[in-house]
Amino acid sequence: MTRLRIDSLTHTYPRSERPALANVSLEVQPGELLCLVGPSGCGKTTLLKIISGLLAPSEGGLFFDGHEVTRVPPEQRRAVMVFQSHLLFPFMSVIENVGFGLRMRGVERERWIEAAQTMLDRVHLSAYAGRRPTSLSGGQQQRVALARALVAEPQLLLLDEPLSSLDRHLREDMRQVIIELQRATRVTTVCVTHDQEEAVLLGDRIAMLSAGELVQVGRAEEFYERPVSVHVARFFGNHNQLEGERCGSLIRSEVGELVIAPESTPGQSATWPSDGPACLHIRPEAIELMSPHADSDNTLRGRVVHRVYVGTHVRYAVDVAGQPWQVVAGPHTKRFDEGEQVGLRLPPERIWLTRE
Amino acid sequence: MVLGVPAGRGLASLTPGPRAALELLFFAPVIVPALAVALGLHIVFIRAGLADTIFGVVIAHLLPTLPYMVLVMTSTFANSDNELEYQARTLGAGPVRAFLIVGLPTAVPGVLTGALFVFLISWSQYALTLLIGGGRVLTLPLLLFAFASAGDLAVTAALGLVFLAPAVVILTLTARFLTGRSVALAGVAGK
Repeated sequence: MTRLRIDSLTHTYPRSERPALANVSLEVQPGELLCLVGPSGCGKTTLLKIISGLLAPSEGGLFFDGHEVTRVPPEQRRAVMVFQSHLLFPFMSVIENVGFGLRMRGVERERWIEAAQTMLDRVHLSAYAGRRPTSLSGGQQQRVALARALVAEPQLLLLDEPLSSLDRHLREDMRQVIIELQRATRVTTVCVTHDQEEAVLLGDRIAMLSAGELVQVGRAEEFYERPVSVHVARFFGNHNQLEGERCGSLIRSEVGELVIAPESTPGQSATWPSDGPACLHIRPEAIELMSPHADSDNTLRGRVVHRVYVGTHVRYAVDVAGQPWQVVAGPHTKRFDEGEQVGLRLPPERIWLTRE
Repeated sequence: MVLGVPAGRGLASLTPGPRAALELLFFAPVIVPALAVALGLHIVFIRAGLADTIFGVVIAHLLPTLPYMVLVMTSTFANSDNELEYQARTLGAGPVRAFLIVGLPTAVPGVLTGALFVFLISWSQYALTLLIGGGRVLTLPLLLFAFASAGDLAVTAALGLVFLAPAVVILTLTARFLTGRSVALAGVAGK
């Protein structure tokens, strides 16, 4: 198990003005699976290439268990990358592919064959050992690539969009295989994905990159409930937004006054704008729907425009003084019909603020 | 092959600007008339003791053939990205090993195409062989020419057929086994 420390890493590609990575610092705990997310072009694959050693950073350092590896060539780092396109060697059999890492380390033939066979067993592909990789399906190839990466007991496992080339139903199987193998081997893993759902389902922790900068690191809950910016909030699901003016623990807006609770999230509320213009945010599932006549605090009035029942929950579109609001309610809560007046209660502790 | 493959690999890794300039340099021997080069080369080879030897002829043949080999190899390597080699490197192979074990095998169709192509060029060299070989190193074109000028039509016709044979065989081979698998020919055609 290796601890990975990335120390103020900056990388600018030749002939590019904007850095692909700007001052990224990050620590991955031994045995942890960290998901790097962000929209395409945010620099996440660049970061993965730098960790693997295929790319030398312009500035900054990289440490495996405290040892600097910034200038160590990839073949000596034992940080194995699994590329999106599997990249199995087409002129070798499946078992030769899996044993490649051990062969490169000069392990004897019987030993690498045995180790490769065991690893193929674990991804349920031992029957295909003698086949050519091209005769395998996409999902099988991906599992071979994973087995090939893990057989040499790497210090770090680097996954580049491991699921995006697979069909939807295969994706779930593969995700399970990755999680199981990672848990069993406890190899420190960094996984790149552009899909927030994948990141939430796979990662012990998530790190989000945007335009080359690290914007937030934490557990999935923090990304949903305590996003540091509107950008992060949008990337992780829907949210409602209301412009107003902050006055202590009160937000004054066109639709009324609302109470906020900065003391419930001391860490996050430190970044909130102080008195003056502010933007209020709340997740659709945080809002409580109730009858418009109910006497409750922090409640906006609106009219149901649209309602969809989707089994696990009910989705409402509500018109609040001309603004469309989204509300998600549990399947067993009181139903409101389209056109009906409703009250929207905004629990203070679920509200967060941003500048714009 | 020994010279063309590394040269092509090197060229393919360059950015388009310098690459075009270097490719032109590699093609320079083809632009100069063969006879002019051969005459100059002859003098040098006589001094070096290479004239009238098979080795001398082989070296002289590199002159018109190497540029084509380099061209084919450049397009082969330029069309295949190096990702497979990157993969090999993260799995613990050094840069040279990664190229030999992984990069080269994927370039086999291109190497074959280049080799066949270059064989045909060498096969049909007349002036270079005659001058550098001094008539002592005999190749088929030399024989063919001798018989044709002697007016022996039957032998000339027979030799003509033999002369044609490799071209037909190679064309068939490339068409059957390399199409679809090799992008090198398409790369050459596109230049």
